[in-house]
Amino acid sequence: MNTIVRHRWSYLYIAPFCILTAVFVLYPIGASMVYAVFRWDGIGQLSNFVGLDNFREVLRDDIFWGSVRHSFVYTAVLVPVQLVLALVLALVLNDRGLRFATFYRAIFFLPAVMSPAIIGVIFQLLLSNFGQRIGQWAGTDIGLLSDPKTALGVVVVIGIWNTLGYNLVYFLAGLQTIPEELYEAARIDGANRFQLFRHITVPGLAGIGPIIVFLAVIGSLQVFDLVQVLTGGGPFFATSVVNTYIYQKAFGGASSSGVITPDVGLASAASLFYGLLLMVVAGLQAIVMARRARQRNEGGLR
Amino acid sequence: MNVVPQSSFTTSFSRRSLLGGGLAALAAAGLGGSLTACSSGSGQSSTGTVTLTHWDWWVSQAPWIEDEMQRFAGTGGGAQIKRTLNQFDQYSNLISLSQRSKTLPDTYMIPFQPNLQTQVSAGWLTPLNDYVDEAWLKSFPKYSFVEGNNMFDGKIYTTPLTGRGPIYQLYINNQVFRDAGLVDPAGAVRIPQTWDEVGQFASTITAKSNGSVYGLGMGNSGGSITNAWLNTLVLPAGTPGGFLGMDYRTGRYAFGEDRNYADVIGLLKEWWDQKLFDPASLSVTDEISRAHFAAGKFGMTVAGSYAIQPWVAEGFTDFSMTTLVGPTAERRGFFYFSPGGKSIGVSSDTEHPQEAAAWVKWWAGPEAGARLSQQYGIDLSVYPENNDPAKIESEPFGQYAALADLTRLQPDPVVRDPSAATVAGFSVTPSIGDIIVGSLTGQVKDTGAALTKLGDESDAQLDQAIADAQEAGSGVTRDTYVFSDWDVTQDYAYDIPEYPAL
Repeated sequence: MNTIVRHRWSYLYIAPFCILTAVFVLYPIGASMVYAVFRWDGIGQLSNFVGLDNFREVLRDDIFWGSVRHSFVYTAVLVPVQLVLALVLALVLNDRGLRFATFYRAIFFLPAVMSPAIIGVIFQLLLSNFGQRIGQWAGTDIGLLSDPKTALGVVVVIGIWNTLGYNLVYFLAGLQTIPEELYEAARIDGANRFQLFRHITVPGLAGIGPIIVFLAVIGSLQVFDLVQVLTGGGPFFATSVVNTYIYQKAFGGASSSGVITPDVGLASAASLFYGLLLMVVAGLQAIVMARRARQRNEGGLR
Repeated sequence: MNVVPQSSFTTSFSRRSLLGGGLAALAAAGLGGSLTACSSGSGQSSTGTVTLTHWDWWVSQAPWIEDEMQRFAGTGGGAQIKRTLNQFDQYSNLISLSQRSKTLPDTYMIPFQPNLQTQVSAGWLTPLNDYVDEAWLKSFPKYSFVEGNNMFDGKIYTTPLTGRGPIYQLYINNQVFRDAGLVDPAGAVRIPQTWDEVGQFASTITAKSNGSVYGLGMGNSGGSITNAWLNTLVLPAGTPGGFLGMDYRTGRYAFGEDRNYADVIGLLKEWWDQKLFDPASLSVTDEISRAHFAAGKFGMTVAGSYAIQPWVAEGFTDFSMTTLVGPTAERRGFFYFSPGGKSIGVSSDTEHPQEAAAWVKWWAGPEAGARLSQQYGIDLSVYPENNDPAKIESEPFGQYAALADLTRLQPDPVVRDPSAATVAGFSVTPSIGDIIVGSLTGQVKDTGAALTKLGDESDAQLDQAIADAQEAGSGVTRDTYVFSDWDVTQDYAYDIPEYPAL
């Protein structure tokens, strides 16, 4: 008790975080666990206990597994492409000799602060008016977002454009932590650009790099708004990702069926299951990161 | 399948600790603003003027609503109306949230979920019986107030506002038709009467423009417009279930059994494969598509009457319309409606039921109805005399009003047995709309099998919903859904009073 009193200001400072986390993270998780064992439309009272039926239904639903697959494909394509692009751009923009660097940074970050709803409308208009020619190059003549063979690819490309700015900023922050003296010393020793990159930049980013990858992977696996506004998961679930699946189950509303009856219990079950899946992915990433950090440290000690 | 909650798990655990807290996240997502709007608005000013809070989701109808609010404040009852416009797809949640926090607006448009029966049994609404009389009741057309629809246990909870009219129309861009030479010898635009003519005209438009203009177009990004196409084409073929699929003649979902479903989807697929549709049809929203139609990007589209007013407001009036285009010019089916009707009601949280009821009566009155159809051209009025095309100021909306007789009364299980209202709604995925899209894109290879599966699963879900309702005390059975004597070309003859006793 004395400890609490002695450190009361510390507790006071972290209280808002704890309260917000409890209300907006822990409570919804706990509530979802309860919802998941009821058949419930989200409006009336919880009365129809169904045990694990919602989980069974989710696991038997081909559309759910299709959505999982699309989420992982989205991530598997977006993350490496976006990170390479972000790193290249960050290297260019980190060049102190570059004029208007701040302006360029703002330009590249701009899509990240745009509303996904606006992005959805803009790209729908762009693709409906000018996308046909691009579509023909891509081997489709029914519209890039209308063709199940190209729709997910288009969403990935727009996703790369949309969120590139965040990773660019992360890499820039990482690059700016590398002492300039290291580059100067290496140049004096005759290192070329590639060697500077290979032996100074890459090790210099070894600390922040895995965190950027971790955030990009988890963020991409949770993609929602962009898909919802661009395609709503269509055509015929060709771009459905897990979060659009959960949203459509939870909130129902207008859809291709006219009106979908909300099924909060099923959505909660899908959400919990996918949450577990993401925890496994995050755990594996954490293990790999820890192992690499240990190897680095051991290497450093040697 | 979702079940309307019936009974026991109704402790404070479920109602307060779970819902109250779980909904905090929704409030954080911006829904709280509406609740605040509700809870803070209602009351009485220092000058004694009552201010009523009112919620609805109507966007394009806003000019009419705001006009009526002003008129009501001036002459109708003296109360000011503070309106909150809500997002349609969140409306049910918002009303539910406000009910839980005991801040329901004084009057609100009846949400689709939970159904009215559930709202009434949960005490959300104040009956209007104490504020209306028989003369008011009989000012409405017959069968406007029906037990199980807008009345429960002899108490009226809401009123019809809009009249029966075709839900969807096939719109024709006259200029595109003229450019393609689709005019009769007198120079009038030719209106397609059959499936074949729609295809032929679309083909002519696409060919004559060298592919720069398409015959057909839609905006199905939101997901539901394919259903509008289906209804416009399948109902006149004598398939009364439309995209909902329920054929009350058999009480079964007819997706797999009624050949017309497969035929219409095959027709749409044929038009799609012939590239008669705008290629963006599956990827743009309905709103964008309607703008493209007005701009002449394609010659024909299907939409509801809601499309008319925005087009007229933007200066686009050179269009024609028809509806119920079937395999032959003879219509073997129509748009179907149940008797009764819902619009707004008085909440049980109101402190001013007298004034709120006066607003409901004003809102649903014949004068307001006349302005709705004649002056604003927004929707047909429940009073047929208001819908005379000659009295309607907007020529395009007058065209729509002229189609009003293409509707029929359908049988309704809830009218037969009001306890059928406790049968919960359900959804089957892939839905009919999904199957149409999947067929167009080639993702659904066997449309017939997909339709059969949809019909079977819908029947199974309904059986389960009925069983759940029976368990909760309803007397509904599958037979409640069977009206084998129904002639789909005629109004269903109801064995109920034309006007209920107050």
